[in-house]
Amino acid sequence: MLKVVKIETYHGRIKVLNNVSLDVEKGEIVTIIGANGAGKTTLLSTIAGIHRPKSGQVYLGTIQTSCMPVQNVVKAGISLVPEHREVFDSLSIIDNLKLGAYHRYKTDKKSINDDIENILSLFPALRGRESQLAGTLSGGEQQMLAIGRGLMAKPKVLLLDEPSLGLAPLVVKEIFDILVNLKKRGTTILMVEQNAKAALKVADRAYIIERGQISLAGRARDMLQDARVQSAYLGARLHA
Amino acid sequence: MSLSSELLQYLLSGLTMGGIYALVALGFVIIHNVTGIINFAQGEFVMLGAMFMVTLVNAGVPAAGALVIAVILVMIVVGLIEFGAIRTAKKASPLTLVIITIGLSTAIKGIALLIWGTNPYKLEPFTKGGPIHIGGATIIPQSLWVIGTTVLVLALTFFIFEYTYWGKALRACVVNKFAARLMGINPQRMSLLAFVFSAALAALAGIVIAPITYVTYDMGLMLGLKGFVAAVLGGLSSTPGAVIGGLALGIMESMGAGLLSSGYKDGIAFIILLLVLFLKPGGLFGTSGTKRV
Repeated sequence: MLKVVKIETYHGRIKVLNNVSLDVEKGEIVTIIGANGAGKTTLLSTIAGIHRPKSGQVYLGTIQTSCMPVQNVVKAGISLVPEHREVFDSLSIIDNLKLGAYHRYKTDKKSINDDIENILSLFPALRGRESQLAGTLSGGEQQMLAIGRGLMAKPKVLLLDEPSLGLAPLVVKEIFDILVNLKKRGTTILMVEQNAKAALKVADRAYIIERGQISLAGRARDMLQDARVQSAYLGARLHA
Repeated sequence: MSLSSELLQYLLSGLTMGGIYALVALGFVIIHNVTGIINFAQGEFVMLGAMFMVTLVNAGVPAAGALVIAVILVMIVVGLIEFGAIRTAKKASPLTLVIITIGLSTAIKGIALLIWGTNPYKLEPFTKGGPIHIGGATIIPQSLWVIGTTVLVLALTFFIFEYTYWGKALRACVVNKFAARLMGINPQRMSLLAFVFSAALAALAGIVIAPITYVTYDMGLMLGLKGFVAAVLGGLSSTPGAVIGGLALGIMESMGAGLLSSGYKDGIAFIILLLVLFLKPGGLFGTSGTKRV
């Protein structure tokens, strides 16, 4: 469904992504794990159209999205839930959700209320507080709102950038449970995470990115058992 | 004339000019919030509104129709300007764009000079009738038009930003430009919208003030600068701040002119600008960012 082919992205003169290829099948949760500065966020931003790759392509189905402006990428069906959530903090919850559907607001007005209803049933913590300002929500609730807002675009692939960032472990669990729930409903997810353990538990497949390159790819279940992954990302000690 | 009725008189004339400054200031703030540009051509949009109005009325178009046509004409002209001069330079820094607006201001003024010449034009007041007496002070009917229009336009602006989807999309750009882009909101379209909307505000301001001040090709400079002072007074990013800044500036000017000397009238605005920039650079209503992380 989503195919990234030999992407190279620069920030100024610095090469951040070096020959990165990956693919995500329909209905999968795929996670990208890596340390700080490995290029995870840049990778998602490149897929979302915020950064333009110097070479390489991104395909969604048969459509090449890698040279489109952001608004067309959203329209094509890729929606990014950014790092730090970035909700519209002085707008209400309901307005945040409505703006998530911006690209289809004119053509699809009728179904938007039903979709908001769906999102609220997915995130019951937001229900009954629709007119509350998003800035007054707790971190976990803001993350739920950000994901809900991303889903309002009805994306074919949902990109999540560090959904666990700055959240308490219990809240992280709640968010990841929701992701599993989303997968059951048929949503395709590509997620970047530093919390490798939590991410690998819910994901089908995983990629490990190091200094801008994919160093390992495989099934998430196998990665949890992999000694190298355990020592580098899961906090296990290697016993000689 | 007792002091209290004198003060009331200054207050009323201050509110009249203040309403105009508020409309211009609102235009500054909307464009600045959405695009990061300080549009120094804002005053020329005021002049264009007044000039189109006078030309249409002199050509025999009834005032109400002329008003609507003049506002729409200014919106079209400004839309074309945004398309041709701002959008083509979208990769330039905001400072460069600000300088482009200064150039635009000079160009518009020059073209206006060629079309309409240096003579002042007169526009008849919207309604006939002598001055109205209120508690020892007098007010001309056109002042009521100015104040009424200001209130109406402010209410409409509030409604648009608070209750319509387009208004909310504009606000989303202001609150979080990055996230707005991720929603698929096209920043270029929002920039056009901000310019055209501000143009309408400016044109209306020019039209309602025209019967009080005469219409000249260079009337935009002072009104634009005063509107800018009002916007800075209000913090440059707050819409209620712009309105209060505009009214406050109008009243201070009128009080200063009345109680000190009318020669100081224009000086007062710029002394206020300097004081604000020295003492409270964030403006009286500058938003101090509160964000929960």
